[in-house]
Amino acid sequence: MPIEKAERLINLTMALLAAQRYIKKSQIFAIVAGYSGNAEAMERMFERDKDDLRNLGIVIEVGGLDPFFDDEPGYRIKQTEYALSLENLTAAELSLLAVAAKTWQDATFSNSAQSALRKLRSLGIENDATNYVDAPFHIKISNSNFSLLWSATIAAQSLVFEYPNQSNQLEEREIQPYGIAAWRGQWYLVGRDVAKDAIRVFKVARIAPECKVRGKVGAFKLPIDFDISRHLVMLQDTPQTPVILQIRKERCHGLRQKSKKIKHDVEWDEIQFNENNRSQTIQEILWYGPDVVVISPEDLKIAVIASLREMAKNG
Amino acid sequence: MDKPLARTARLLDLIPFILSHQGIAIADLANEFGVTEKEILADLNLIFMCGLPQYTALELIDLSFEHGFVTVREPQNLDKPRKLNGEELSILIMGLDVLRTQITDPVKEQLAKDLQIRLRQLVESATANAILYADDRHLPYIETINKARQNRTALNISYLNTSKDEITTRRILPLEVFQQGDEFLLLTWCFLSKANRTFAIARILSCDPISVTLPDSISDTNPVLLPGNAIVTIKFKYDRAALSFIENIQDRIVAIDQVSMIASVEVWDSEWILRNVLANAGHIKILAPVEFAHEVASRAKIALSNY
Repeated sequence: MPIEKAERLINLTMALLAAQRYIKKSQIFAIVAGYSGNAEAMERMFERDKDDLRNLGIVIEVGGLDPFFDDEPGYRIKQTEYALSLENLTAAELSLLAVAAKTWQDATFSNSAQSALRKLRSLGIENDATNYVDAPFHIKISNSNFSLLWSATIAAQSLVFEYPNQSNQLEEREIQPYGIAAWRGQWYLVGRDVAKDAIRVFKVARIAPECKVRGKVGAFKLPIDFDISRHLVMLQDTPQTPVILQIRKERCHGLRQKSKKIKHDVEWDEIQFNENNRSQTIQEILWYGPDVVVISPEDLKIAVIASLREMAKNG
Repeated sequence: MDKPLARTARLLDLIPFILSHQGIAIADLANEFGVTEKEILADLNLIFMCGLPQYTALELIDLSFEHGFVTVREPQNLDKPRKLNGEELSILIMGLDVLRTQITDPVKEQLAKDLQIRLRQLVESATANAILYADDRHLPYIETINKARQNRTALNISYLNTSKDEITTRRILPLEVFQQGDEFLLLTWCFLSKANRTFAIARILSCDPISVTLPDSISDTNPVLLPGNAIVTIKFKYDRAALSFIENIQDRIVAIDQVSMIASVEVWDSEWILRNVLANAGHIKILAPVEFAHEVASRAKIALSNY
């Protein structure tokens, strides 16, 4: 009775792991349970099995049996390449890794997170409390492209997607993804735009659905000095500017939370805070409409007045 | 991944897992691997047939699972877990990044940093290392919330409703903390509405545990997020500068034409849309209902009169 494919793959893995020296294909066919049929059938079976094991991340080494002769290649799996090696991992470290894995309870990565956690828990570390601690928060990602963007980035495989240009028209882009970053919950893909031959940053939420991979895995290499944080403007230090506002009594609670009160009268309080994100500050001020007045800086005041004028004429 | 390959991965992972959890119940094992007990039993029966060449009793994997509990007696050379793959490593590294945004204890922070260095050394692809999670917002009361979540105890919170620009107090049982888009949200059981309610953590202004178990009938001093108003559909035109707003309200959009940049949203809180239109500084123009457009203009005019 022919044995199941999974059984043959386990037997092959065990035989290659046990090999002290490279073992030839013909030997594999002779000794590993599950290879049957004519030579061509077994050959095909073996090629598929090698691909399958490699897809599981198992490294199959190929080498010559005799360095002096152009011999048939042999195969083996090194224990050091196969097994998880995190020597001297303590229970405290394991707990921390478990909590890190549990941040991904969203469907996008929950399988990989659970699988990683299971492998770590198979290390046999005592005082394993990984079941009892949850992450301080979970990350939920609803973007349909996200999983593909992530796997293509890890596999160094090119991506093709549509992205809005300056006039908001969708334009096809081919990108070699160099990295993925999140800033304040917004995700960004950083990569080399093939047509422009330049590194560009893409907001993941703006990438049109049905993004695709193109070409082979491992098709490009990262520039040696690539540092993702250098390409994200929001991570660069920007100077803080003091802002002074008048806000109506008992109103503008959001602004009050981040400010200190410096003056007050019957109707208004004067507050001060530092900002380093001008567009966000303008948004916060406009949110409260007539309940806030900008005192300084002057350029902020001018920008707020200009926005109000624009909105006033649309009534 | 096709079915036999996924099964192979599971079989390879089963043996070291059982070895480190000797005597585990079949039901627990099935639960751990996300399959049925029947599938786990089939897996165990298959493992029983696997081994090293020669395949005598001495070379086969040996395990026992007769009374509903599983023990590996001889794992042969599958005693160690497989190494972490690129995706598993990258999500652990980023998971540690996530934790580091909230860790306040310097010892733990160092532990997380050192672990990231160790994991990065295991990564084979350079791109898997080019991942980054950054957030400079420390969540207020996160420790209190998570402690209450673990202990299943209730909390009294004061909460800022930005649309109404008012602070209210509520009694809640915290259920889950999660980040969705740019907000950290707290899913709770609300004692007043007797239903799940979600709060933005950044707008929680105070948070105190309630030491006694609350009866269900206890009431809040203020109503909680109750959609009392009728739903209104607002049609508006936007420009590129308002794209972030559009992305943040995806679930409320009922119609959108990305070429003409006209969208419609359903709103049940008129203050929410009016303030968002104001905050977007003229990059959103309400087309209908016209009263909403007039209200925005009127507020802008009053605000201008302050200068």
